[in-house]
Amino acid sequence: MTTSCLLYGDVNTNVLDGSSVWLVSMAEALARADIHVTLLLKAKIQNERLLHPLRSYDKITIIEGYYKPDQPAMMSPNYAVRRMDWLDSQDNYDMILTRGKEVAYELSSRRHLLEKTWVYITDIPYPYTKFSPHQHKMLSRVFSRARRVLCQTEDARSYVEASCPDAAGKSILLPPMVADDFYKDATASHPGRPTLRLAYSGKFAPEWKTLEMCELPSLLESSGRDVTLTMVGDKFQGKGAPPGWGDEMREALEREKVTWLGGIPRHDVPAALEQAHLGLSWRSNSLNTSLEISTKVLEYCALGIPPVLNRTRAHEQLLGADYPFFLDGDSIEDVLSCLDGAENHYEQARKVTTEISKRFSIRAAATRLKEQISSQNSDFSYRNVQTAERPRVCIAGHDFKFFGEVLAGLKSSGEVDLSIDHWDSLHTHDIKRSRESVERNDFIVCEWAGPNLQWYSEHKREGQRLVARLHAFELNGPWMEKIRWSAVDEIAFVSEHYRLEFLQRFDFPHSKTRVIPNSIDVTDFNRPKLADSEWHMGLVGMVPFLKRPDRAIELLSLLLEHDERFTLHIRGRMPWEYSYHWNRGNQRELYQNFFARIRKDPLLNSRVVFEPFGPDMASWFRKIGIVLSPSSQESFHMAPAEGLASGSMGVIWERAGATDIFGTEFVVSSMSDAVSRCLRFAQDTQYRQAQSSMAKHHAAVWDIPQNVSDWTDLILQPVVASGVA
Amino acid sequence: MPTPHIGRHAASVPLDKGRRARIGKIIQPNGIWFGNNRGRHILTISSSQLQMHLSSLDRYAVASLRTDAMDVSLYSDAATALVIEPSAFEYGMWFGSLNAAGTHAFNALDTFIQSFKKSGGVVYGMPGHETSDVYTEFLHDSFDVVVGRMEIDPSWGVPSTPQLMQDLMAYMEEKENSK
Repeated sequence: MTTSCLLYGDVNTNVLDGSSVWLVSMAEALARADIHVTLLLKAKIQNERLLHPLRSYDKITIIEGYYKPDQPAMMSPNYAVRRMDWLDSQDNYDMILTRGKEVAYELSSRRHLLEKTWVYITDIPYPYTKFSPHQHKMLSRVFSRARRVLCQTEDARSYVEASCPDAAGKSILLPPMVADDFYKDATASHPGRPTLRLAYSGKFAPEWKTLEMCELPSLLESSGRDVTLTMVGDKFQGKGAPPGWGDEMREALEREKVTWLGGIPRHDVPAALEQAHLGLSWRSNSLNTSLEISTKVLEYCALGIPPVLNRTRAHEQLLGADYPFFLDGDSIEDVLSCLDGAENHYEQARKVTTEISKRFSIRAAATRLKEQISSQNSDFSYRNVQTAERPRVCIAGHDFKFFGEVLAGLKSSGEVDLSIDHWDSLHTHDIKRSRESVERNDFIVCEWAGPNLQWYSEHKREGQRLVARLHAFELNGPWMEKIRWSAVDEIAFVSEHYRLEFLQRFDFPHSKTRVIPNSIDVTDFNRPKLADSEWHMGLVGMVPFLKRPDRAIELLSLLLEHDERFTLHIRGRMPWEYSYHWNRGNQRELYQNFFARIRKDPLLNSRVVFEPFGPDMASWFRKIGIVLSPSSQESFHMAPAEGLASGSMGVIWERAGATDIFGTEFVVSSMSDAVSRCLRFAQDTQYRQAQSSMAKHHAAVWDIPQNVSDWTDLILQPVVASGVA
Repeated sequence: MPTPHIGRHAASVPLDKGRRARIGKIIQPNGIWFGNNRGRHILTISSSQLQMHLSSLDRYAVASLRTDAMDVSLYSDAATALVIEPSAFEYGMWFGSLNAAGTHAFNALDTFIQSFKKSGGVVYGMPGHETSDVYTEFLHDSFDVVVGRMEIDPSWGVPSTPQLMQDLMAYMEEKENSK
């Protein structure tokens, strides 16, 4: 079935700028991803300059908005959303994709639209001091309800997730797109010495160093170089520029060996630049704070013109730290030094940039979108079965922290009509609501085999299927003896070890049990690591003490004897935040000893850091090379599984059931084994890459699609066979 | 259908407001400060070499600022200067704090710096050649004084460069000479 998408950008397609070009590229990318696109325009069509190429796509339908005769021919965000709602009521789109903050705010009051919307907001307040409480509230509301949150770069994604945690788990990358006409044959010959041709295209602004650029030909001439500079553009910064700057800039454009082409049509820009050797993207250091990649830089790359640009972490990540045309400062001397001997590095740089540019083509964007849309989490089949007769399933429980992916997957699979009986605590619930669940549903799923399972085993209807998932702590619960086991149709366990332990202790048929591990959004965790992350170990959760933070400290202490770069990041709540455990004197004593050890050893003290918990785990793992699981007992242990999905090496202490879950690859038999693995991981690049690949490969078994399929099978299959559904 | 928090969001809890102060008290070595406790109290985000240099001069009490203990109440009574060496963000507990993935840590540092300045503290920045990350320039903007570049109008008649500036410049020179 072909997917349909309503695309709206709060931009004027009659005017050529970055946002309107993006909208057109997005429409093209979606169409090439085999999606039927309805492009709703904000502004009444006044020219076809940008829209013309879209007319040749039979999968793109362009619709104008509704504009009142006595008002400007542009829709307000409010009016645009009303128009989108009307269109959706007619065509019931599979997805909506919007660009713009105000439109997203308007959508937040129409939940039925927002829950299938992929929002792209480029002007999120940054840094955090620019967030007003109102903006924070509104963006959190949008992100909590939107289907997907699109981010231009990994940096933008990390920032958004840290600032608005509701975006965590649903943010995906939408890198900038470069139009096809910028991609030139990379083998085209370029003249070399003695002439060096520089080019710049874009706005003229002080922070963009465009005035200083014009000095380069004369300065380089004095050192015997023949340098020309081609400048393209006709927009001069007005507001914010120093008085007289604009006049000075115009004068500079008339200098010898500077050719100013003015503003030229977008489709002529590639031809105007293609004879250049290097493209200038020299900017003031104050712009190094950007969370985005400049599309201009990528256009230079696509044209086979290596860009000269500021050295930043993001640019190093894009082009490699050894890229030859990085500026180590923003002064003109830095540029002159960078250009000195440029011809020696030119071909190598050109190869790198040409190769990298392929990732930013519209074709590449289409391929990525196709994958993102076809993934289980983006399944749209629910819209076609909203009204169909579907089996009714209730999930009952007090804590869904391990059930998020399954719930989302079941919902989007469209196979079931889902409801939740959310218990207030392990023991307390709204009895009226639970009774209604019994009456209404064909299937009951108890997340945790706690008192919820006891209650439903006593109240379920004849023929109603009751299944549960048991993690670990439930095994010792007093309610276990009270559960009417004959009423329980099947139990899922997160690991084989706990299945066997349960079967040894309770009279329950093996044939009615199965193992379904916890699930992880593997794609979400697959993010690039920060340089030097190999020296950083992560431990998530240290309460109760059976999580054995003391082992992690001992490991760190031994590693520091070899290399002082090792650091341990412990993420989660502090023990005193769990009154149940802290009030137990023996545990408090163990923690006091643990803290005392850190307090007394200055080096250890400087290499252990406690970080508060947050949902942005995938972003946090970017700095973690090694994930620890020193616990004495775990039913599954989600954090190291997430760490493996991120490409961290796992160091899992041997314990009952550990190899069932993590295999033998990451389970260590002793402290010295752990030490030698960590050292090798940090020091040996090949070993590190192999461990990282193996970790990701191992984590693939916990990915959502398989898990949701297993759950659907557990909940529905036997009853389908007996004809209940 | 009610919408309970699911997945990682279900595990979220409100931040314990006393967390940083409590970690500081429980983790920091006795008395926090080392060096001459009767001297000027200096906080640092720096290499251990710089800390040792300052504490060896016998005119300072020095303490490291921890990422997890940035509560101004722990230090404000005593500390009057915070010395930041940008290279300290490339390893150890401050690693990644200038990257977008370190947004929580950077925001907390920025908030701390604002409070520290309000309580009278001066922020000294050491020059460095580290690759710029997304928060590097914001960090530089927070420096009241960049070591080696302090300008005082000669007409004010101030007799000499402040002692801390002199000591930090001497450290830089020493470091340069040892290369």
